Amino acid sequence: MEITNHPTLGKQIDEEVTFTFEGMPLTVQKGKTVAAALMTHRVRKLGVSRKLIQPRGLFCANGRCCSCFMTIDGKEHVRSCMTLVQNGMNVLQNNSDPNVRK
Amino acid sequence: METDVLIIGGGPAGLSAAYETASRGLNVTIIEETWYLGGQLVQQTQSFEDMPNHYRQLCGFEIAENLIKKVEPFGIHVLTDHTLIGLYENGEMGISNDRDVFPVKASKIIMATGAAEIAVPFPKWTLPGIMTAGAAQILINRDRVLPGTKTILIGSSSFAFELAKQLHEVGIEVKGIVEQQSDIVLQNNCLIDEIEKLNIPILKNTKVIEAEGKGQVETLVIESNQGPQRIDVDFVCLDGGRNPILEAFLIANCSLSYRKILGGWVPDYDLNFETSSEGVYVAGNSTGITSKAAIFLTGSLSGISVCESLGKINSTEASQMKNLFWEELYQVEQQVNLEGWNSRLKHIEGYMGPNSHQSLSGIGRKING
Repeated sequence: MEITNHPTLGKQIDEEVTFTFEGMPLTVQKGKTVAAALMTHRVRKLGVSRKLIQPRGLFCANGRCCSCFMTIDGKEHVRSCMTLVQNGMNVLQNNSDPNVRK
Repeated sequence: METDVLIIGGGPAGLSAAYETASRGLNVTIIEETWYLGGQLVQQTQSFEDMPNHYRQLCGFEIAENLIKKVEPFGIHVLTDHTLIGLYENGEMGISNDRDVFPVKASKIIMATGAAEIAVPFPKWTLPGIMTAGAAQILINRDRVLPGTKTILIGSSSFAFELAKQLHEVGIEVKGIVEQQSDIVLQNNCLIDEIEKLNIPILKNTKVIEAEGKGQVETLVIESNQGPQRIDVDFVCLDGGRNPILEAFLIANCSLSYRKILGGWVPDYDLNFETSSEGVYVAGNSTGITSKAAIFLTGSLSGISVCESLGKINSTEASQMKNLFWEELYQVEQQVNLEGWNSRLKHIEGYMGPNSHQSLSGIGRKING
């Protein structure tokens, strides 16, 4: 659900980028964060909470709340609302704490 | 790395401070956490009545473009995707790009960290699809993504009303603006009329009971004196106000005071916007959240103070300029937020001592009550 003809900002069609979410290829127009790119494809659940294992999604979109942590290109607990989506990016849900001893 | 002035935050306050300092020949470095300058203005498609005069006709994103263009000729060193993460023993700032950390030695530091939205908790408020009002605005205007098709807004500030309008314009069904109190926060009658014309219900005396949904929000249960009501939604926007962002001030050992009206804990500062840590200044919403104008004007004021202390401007000229900026702030805030204005003066007085603000001569301001 991308807005290609914005009532105030006008028309804008950008180059497309393709990334994978849990192995599934998804395509969006570039210039979005990973969280927004997933929202385009109606993916709301980005991970689970560490203690009660409840679903978590984008909350503040400003890098403050850390509700949108995901694993991006092998790096765990990345704020998906502060990371621009790029071609070939490998995005996984945040389902646990990182193993810091490995 | 060395710089005359290190500015933390590339939003409207940081850019205003950058203009004042860089245009007087100082070497200025801005570090900015995101990948762009302009801060929260970038997704604002509305204009604001509480702006400085020359910005009142423009939308937020146009003001951002304006400011960025204004600082462009001065060769400011901009480090996007960088954050302040610590302070070295010798007083240098530890700056990180998420991979490496390096020291920055600065003669003066201006912290323009901005404000963060406050969550509005209720049972199951953490369900995906429930987000801050600011997040929804970022999605539709900056990232051009629809967060869903049907929503409800919790909170009734001017921001909630503007957002309701903007969500409606991109084709989202807005099922209401919910306010727990008997009066809405917004005072602007034009905006209320506009919302009523769009058939968006303003639900006063209504509280949120809980959210429901499997894996994401599907229903919001609200209750008024007519009883509970289940609203079918696929996202929810929370408008809970804002707090100053403080980490940078804690890193720099700046003292804080609690001012409810200014948004909670606020760094202490004097009339020059210098904090309790020598050489560390504050600008923008982190000085206390009062009006949009204050973001720009406190940025300019801190910039002028830095220029004065680094000898780029003499004290007569500096005090003339500062008086002009303070006067402009007073002119805006006496109309839109006199309580905020008074609280700011009390905050300065609390740090500098009684009647300290009286040294702002000729403006005729008083603390009321």
